[in-house]
Amino acid sequence: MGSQEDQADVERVLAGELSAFEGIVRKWQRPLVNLAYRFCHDRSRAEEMAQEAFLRAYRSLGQWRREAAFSTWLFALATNLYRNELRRIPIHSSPLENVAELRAASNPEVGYETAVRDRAVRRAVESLPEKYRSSLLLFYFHDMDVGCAARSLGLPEGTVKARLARGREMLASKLSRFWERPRVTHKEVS
Amino acid sequence: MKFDDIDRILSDEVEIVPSSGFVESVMDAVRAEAEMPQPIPFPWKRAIPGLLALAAVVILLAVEFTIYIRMDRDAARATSRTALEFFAVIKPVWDAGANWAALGLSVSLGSLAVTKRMMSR
Repeated sequence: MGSQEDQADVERVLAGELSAFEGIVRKWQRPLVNLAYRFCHDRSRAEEMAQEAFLRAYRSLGQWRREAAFSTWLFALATNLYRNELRRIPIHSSPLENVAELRAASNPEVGYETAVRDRAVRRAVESLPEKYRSSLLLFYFHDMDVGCAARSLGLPEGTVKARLARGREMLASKLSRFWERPRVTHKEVS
Repeated sequence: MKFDDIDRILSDEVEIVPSSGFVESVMDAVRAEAEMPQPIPFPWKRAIPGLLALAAVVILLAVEFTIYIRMDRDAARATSRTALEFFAVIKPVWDAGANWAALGLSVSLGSLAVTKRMMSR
């Protein structure tokens, strides 16, 4: 049903009905902005990148082959753009502390220790080489579906699986010291 | 256990909600894009014969040069005869201005490649 709606909207846009594109933007804004956010962890930059992705999608709507789902095509286009964008302007100082603090603040059960650990994992992901980082981000974005991640990256599933395995090994290696440290208690923090 | 933690943390990312003006902002950009005149496509069909000729000349020169520095002089002279015959055939075309056309085409292609690269950024 969803893909039929997408196809109908695309046909209308291609027929010159520009307003039909608004339906596409409304439907896919959240996933595209959130995917961008996973790449850059900067809200305003994520929206800029998502806007550029929609603009590129508009420009190349005619190139969408109907045998692939519209979402697959859109995610592949956006992923390619986001990766290029981060190669052009890398993340220098990641404002991840906002994320960790927000999480801790929004859920009182999430303690300081968890917030610190989560932040360390995300920083470790950011420090991975691009090909491993992209594979991991896409894998988790698509609810751990290797096939979806592979299609978004335009790579064979086997390649993505290998990159995931290697990326997770590198993460475990980077985080091993973190986990070996004695755990911080709330008393020590206060 | 470690991998389970990584899975949990990375799966449980914060979901952000796009700002209220996001759709309008995208649609404004799309409308501006739609109002822009279509770019003039590069005339590939007309350029291909010239490009092929240019490539042939470049390849021939490269082969000749390689042979010249690798083989002894007699053999090089014999091989060069073929090239001389080839040049004798294309000389009238060359004299008629084909060299300038080839140069112009090369410059056009170079600028097109640079423009495309800049547009993709």
